[in-house]
Amino acid sequence: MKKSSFTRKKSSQLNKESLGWVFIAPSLILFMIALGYPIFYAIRLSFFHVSLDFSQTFVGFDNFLKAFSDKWFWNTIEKTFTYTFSSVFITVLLGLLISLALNNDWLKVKSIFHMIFLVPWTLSFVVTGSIWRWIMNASYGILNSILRSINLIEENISFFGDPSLAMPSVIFVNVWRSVPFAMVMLYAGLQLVPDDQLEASKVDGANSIQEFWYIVLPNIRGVLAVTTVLLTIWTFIQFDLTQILTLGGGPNHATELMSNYIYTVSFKFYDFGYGSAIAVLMLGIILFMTIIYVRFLEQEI
Amino acid sequence: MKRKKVLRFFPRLLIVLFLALVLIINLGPLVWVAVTSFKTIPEAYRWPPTFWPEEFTLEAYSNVWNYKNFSRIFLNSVIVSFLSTFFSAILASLAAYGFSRFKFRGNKPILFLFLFTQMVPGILLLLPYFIMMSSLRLINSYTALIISFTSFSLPFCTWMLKGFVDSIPKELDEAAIIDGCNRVQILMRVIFPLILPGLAATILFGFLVAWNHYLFAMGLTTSSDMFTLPVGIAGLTGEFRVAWNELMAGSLIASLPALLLYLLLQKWFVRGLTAGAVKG
Repeated sequence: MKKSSFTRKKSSQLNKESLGWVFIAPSLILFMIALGYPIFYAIRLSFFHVSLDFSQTFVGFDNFLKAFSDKWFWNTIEKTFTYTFSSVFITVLLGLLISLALNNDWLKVKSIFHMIFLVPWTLSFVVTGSIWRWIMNASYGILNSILRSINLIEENISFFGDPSLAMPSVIFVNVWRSVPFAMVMLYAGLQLVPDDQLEASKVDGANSIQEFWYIVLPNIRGVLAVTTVLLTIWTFIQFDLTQILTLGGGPNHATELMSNYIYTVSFKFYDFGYGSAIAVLMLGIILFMTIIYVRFLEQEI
Repeated sequence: MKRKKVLRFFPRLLIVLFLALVLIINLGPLVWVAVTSFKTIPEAYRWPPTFWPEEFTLEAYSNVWNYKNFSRIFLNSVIVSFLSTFFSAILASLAAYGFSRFKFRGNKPILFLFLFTQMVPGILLLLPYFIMMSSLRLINSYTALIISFTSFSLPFCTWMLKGFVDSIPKELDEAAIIDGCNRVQILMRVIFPLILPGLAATILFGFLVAWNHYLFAMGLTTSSDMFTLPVGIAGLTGEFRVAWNELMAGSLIASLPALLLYLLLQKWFVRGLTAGAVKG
């Protein structure tokens, strides 16, 4: 007993904040260099016109005003929101369905299923994009061949070339790559649902839907929230997939996300100032969305 | 121990069929990639496609491997991914220990800081990076890529590892202090051996981020000698007429190292991925 009170004293002495900073400092320094300074620099750039030799002239809010009167800017906002919310909604829904289906004690091969299922998530977006450009190819793609052989279509479909089909096609590919992540997270969440609550609900005669709504859902709300927020953020700032699948947002800007547009503006038109301004607006939007989301969750819990 | 019985929406057969369908949609595309990669170019371009290579050949693999400097690009990816994973694992272990064992004013700001690092669009950082690295003459350098990739994977790695350190009782630290260990010794001798599963998860995540990252690898390199695999593969797609069998072979080569590492470490990875999130 004596010993433990000594321990507490000594450890409380050691648990000082200052010592903690020593462990965090290396990471913080890296973030100052790799994140803090570039963000500051980008915000600064958004108020400047940058020439090809990187010389900068202050232009005030011109770049932002330019964005607000640029119809392609508003187009990318619309496309990015459509892409993000459709992808995340379908991904989380499918992830939930699959993890519920998998969460049955009579299923024997769960760990193998887990192992195989996460494989697409290890692929880069570039490889994912290449694969699906081939499968969904308008002239030689296997998907067209399959759809024709079961008489679902008569002519080959140009999935990424048809302006009305390009967005759903891109969303489909993104969902294909994201569902494994959602499923793994939600499955882990399902393991936390307390047995006694489930048994109690059985005793009370609850059906499956009631059981899901009143027992399972409240218990996995935390995981569901983290999964949704992370997926939303990651999807919103995505660049690679549309860059590969539709070569940066085609056809005719139908799949042009904000990152693609910023890339085009900056590295094709060399308008770094304008590119930065849109990027800063983008950071503002995602920050705003996340804060609202976190607030909303805090109220709920 | 009794396993949970959650939900009986569907009869068993339906569940099995559903999961089988999921697996087919999940893995079918990869099978098709492999099939295509073993075809000759004329056969890859045949319509309707043949479901199995009539003439089985490794031509696509040797073509893509000898294509321009593909092997050099592969080596670049290995070096950059290996080093940034290494740095990320070390920095994340230190930070995770710091966050887990020392009281900071409230843990909310830490969580929000973590979320914030995930929020910053890569493209926003690329513009300043490009200018910064140009003025430091670090365009086309491993250094620029390693710094950026390490900083990309670090937040998630720290978050995962913190979950693991949290699960180690503080009494162990205290016992070690009584035995005369300092904090660094505790980290090395007590914590490290216990968070090895977490480190496995960290290593895999850090490797995947570096191995797969496209935007910065493209933006910070201009010479094809310094490309990494995603840039190299994207270069194969962007051409006028794509040799699909070679592109698929290249995609497989580019995915294999990450896939092997995943198969090796996946058991711990799933635990690590969910450790932070499930605890909230």
